[in-house]
Amino acid sequence: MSKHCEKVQNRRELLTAVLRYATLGTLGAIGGAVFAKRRRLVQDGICINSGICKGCGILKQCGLPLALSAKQLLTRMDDERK
Amino acid sequence: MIRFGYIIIGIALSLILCGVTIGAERFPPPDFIETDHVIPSPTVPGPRQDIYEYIDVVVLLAALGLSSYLVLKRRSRRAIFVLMVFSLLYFGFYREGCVCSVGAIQNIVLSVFDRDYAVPIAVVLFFMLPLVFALFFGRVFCAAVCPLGAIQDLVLLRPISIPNWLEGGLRLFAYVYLAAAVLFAATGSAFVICRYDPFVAFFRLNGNLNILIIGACLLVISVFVGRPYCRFICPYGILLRQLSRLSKWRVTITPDECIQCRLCEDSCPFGAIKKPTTDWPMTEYGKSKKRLAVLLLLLPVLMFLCGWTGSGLKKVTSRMHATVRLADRIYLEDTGEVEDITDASLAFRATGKEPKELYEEASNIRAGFGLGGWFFGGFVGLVIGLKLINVSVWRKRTDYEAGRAGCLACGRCFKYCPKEHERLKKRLLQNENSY
Repeated sequence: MSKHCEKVQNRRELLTAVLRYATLGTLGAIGGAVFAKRRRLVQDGICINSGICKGCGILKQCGLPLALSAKQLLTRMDDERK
Repeated sequence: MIRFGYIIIGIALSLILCGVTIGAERFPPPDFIETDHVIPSPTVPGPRQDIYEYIDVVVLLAALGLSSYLVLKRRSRRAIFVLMVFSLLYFGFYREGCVCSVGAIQNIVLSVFDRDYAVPIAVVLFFMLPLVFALFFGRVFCAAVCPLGAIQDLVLLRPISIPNWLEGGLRLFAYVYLAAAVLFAATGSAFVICRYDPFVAFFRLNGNLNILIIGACLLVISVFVGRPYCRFICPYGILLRQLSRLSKWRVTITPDECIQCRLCEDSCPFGAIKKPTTDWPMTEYGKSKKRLAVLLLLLPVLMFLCGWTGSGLKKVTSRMHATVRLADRIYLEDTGEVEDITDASLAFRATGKEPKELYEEASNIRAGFGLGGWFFGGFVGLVIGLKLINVSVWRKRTDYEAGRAGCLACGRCFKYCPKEHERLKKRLLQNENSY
């Protein structure tokens, strides 16, 4: 390979590497922002599951009125089973 | 190799059997004794416990890692095939195609535009992980992890090649689909990728008849045209395509130096093998330079025109939003243009809300579609312009190469390379000697 070709190749590889890590950073930033938003919504007491308690990942910790009545119902059902 | 296959099938079966035990209702459905109403069975899978979602993420991560190893290091089509079957069984039939990385685009977009919507962590990871792997190893997700790709790959029996111009033209549809999916998700109208997923009805053994017919047609086409959904429709494939251009490691047809025997030339059913190029004649070079300059100048004009068209379509596109549809319906009913009343309009009237408020809400949503239409059209214009520019750019290639963007890393081309056969023979000899 000639020196010129090698130079072009190196430049291209460098540019690709810069773009790759920039994209990786962007993806990381998007992921971080989404996690942060989820956390903020939970802290602000806003439902993150469109009011559907069934299958919600944070039902146990949730203090919203809908979640409290769902938990009450669950406890009652458990008691009835016992 | 056979032992490896047994291990994969064993893991798949045990996970499927595990799944049978988690289908219990957390809340009993109410009884409608007075009205004899029968609760319809849902067509979408119910929510899963968190722990199983994290197991899914771990399985996805393991499958992506294994796929990268099999494609780049082991270079074994057979092993890739076994992993593909596993992925089809696990992510397709067992998980009923949901959550999938393809549809996760919409959740991420909605999360950006709706301040009250939070994406489940598993969905974020399903969206991110294949993209991160594409940045380093190419399209290993498409190779053996995506169930939509796997179902098409399994039926590919008589592949025919498609001319480059047709392939490029058809691929434009995937860009339009991606832009439309983003527009509808951003406006909170619909998750079109999920709604029109052609294979999910097969995975759930249930679904809309029209979609089932489209899926069946696509499968029939897949017998002759390699993975039509992945190549011409998949919006996530567009993201993977662009990111795999930047990949650090990628599939090479030959494990050694290319001897240009041309045996691999027609081995790829997806038309991803790029042939060596000849030198461009100087006369052609001058013409192309002029064409490139004109196209570069035309690009903003094209973007503006497409953006303007996209914005002008707001009346049609906004009909995807339930509020706009309801407002239109109420207007038709109030002006006496229709006589019957729908359940939705009846429910709206029962709320006691003024139609004026509804019209205002619909008007705001339409305005959002107008703005979104500019971006939608502008993006489509940009893609068309860049495609035209791409034709005018000369790229020198000395060997047969797997295209960075188009290669689905299926590993079919490996066995066509004589150098690969040499490598396998050497490895066999080494193994025999070590025994």
